[in-house]
Amino acid sequence: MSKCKYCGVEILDDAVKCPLCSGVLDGKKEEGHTYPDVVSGVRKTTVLYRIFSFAFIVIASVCIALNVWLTPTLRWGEIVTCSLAYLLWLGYIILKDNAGYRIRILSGVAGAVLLIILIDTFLGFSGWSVSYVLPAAIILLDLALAILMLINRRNWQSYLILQVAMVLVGIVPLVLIRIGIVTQPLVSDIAFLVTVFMFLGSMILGGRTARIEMKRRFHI
Amino acid sequence: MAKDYIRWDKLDNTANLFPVIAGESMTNTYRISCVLKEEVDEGLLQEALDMVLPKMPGFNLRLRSGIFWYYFEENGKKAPRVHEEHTYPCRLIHQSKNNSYMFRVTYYKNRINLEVFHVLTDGMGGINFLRELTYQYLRLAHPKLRETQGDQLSADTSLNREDSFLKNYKKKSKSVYQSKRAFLIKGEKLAYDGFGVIHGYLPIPQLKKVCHAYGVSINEYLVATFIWAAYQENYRHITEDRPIRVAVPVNLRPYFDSITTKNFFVMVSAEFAPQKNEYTFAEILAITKDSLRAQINKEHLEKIFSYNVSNELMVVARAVPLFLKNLAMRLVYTQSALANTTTVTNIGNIKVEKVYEPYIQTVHSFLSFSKGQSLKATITSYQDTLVYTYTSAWQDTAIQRRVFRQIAQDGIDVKIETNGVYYE
Repeated sequence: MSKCKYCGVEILDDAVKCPLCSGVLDGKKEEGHTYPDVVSGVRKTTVLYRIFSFAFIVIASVCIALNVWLTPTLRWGEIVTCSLAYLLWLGYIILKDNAGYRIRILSGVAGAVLLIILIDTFLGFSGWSVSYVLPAAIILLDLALAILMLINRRNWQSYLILQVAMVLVGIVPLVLIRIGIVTQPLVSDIAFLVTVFMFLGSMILGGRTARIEMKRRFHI
Repeated sequence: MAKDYIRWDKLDNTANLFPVIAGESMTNTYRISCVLKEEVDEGLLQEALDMVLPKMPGFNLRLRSGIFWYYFEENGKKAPRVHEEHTYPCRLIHQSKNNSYMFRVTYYKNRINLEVFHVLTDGMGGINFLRELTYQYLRLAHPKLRETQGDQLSADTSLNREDSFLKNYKKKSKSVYQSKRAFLIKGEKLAYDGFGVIHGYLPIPQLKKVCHAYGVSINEYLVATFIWAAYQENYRHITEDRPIRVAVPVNLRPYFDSITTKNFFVMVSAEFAPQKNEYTFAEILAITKDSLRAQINKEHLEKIFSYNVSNELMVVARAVPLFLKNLAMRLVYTQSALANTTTVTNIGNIKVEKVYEPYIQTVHSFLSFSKGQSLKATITSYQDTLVYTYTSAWQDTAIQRRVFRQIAQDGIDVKIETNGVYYE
């Protein structure tokens, strides 16, 4: 067993220096570690993350500069930059250890909608992103919820609260119609109706299980 | 289709806070480890977990967000997968990962690790579960043990899940929490969000002798070593306005005759606010002892949790949507978290059944960091050894050095083990 003569303590690790004072240890070293080497793995991931971030900055800067010099009337540099940022973020969400599949799906779709609205804006905002893409994404998410409820039948009722959230999200395009941002209301109306019918359908078909789930979720 | 009735339960008073403040940098996860005298077999550990989990209703849960409150729901999924430890300890336990369980089981060489999100239970509940898991593992690894012991839970294990805060709440009380900011340790953090662990193994007979000579308890002595170390290392920064305050969780079960496996503890604070230029270790020890003894009595402890429970019971507050409650709780938490320099928690003396003792070498535990507290300490005892563990995000180990040097100077044989991050 090694000993640190400065600290007056024995060191059980396989080490040449004292972890407390960095003094050189006296005596025989212990064999093996009692904890895994985490640092080298973390170091590799961090390096990869930095390489991607640096590549993003370089590509985005070059695209914006070329855009300004060559075709200043069409804002494609910003579109490329935002698309790359979305891809990076999507990669992060997918690879992130702690993100559940619901977070991945919801944030992936929300990010895509935001990107499309930005692209529409960069192209002069003719409103197609909010008139068609936003309500279409709401319908898509609602259908995804229905599929998840069928797949996870043992626990289907846990998606009811997300359906409530979808009804609230479905109101957003209606508000946009009201304030004049959305000029083609058809898809928005359909999206809202889909969210309402999906929720009502789940509540009626779900019967007692659905009612108990809502009671749990709304307990005060 | 799902069954109509899914068992569900409200969170206890303390647990309400943990999901609100939990994040990657403040995971509110603690680890209790049992070191065996043999290498751990992954397959057998998984089998043991599969067998024990359905019998422990306090762990067979998932956390759900309601509109007004978080709540627990019976989980019922397969037990989480046991795997070899390959990351830093006490990482965030996410609601929707790990088969939605709020604990994880890992192993490394001879050690079984149980990491628990504090929302589920405090140290007592964690020990209950780890002990049963280890017993079952040993019975599977040693069939002779299984023949004599069977697969049932031990008679020492509690399955009680009452909310002892609510049960013992009598009347509304004023806040007794410190909100004045304490001295906070600062420094250079370990590279790559490192998580440093230093275990100090101390022989209990020697420790008892030293504490007896000083006229203090082991807990008071060890808390005082931290205050002494922090004072020595940050002499100029510690003033009456910025005192050292050590949060000490107190297990309320012995005071209120409870065996609940939900959280049932409150925090008291040992305070050292210097009023002269020089202090000796003995003086700091006396101040620590007086500060703790003035607070650790049934009446004061009841006042602390009564204030919390009365807030929870306010009808108007109950009807506030969860996201607004979360904002308010975060604000209050930040204020109270910065009122403490660190936390020193004593998990207590872990007892195991005689028949399993020959297979178990030691038990230790530690805490993750929290806001303003990137260095914390935990005390765990098993048989004749006490493990005083420091977890830290700081590169500098000056405080740990002062602590263990002081203990060694007092004539106690100190053995140190780390998780290797300080050798990088």
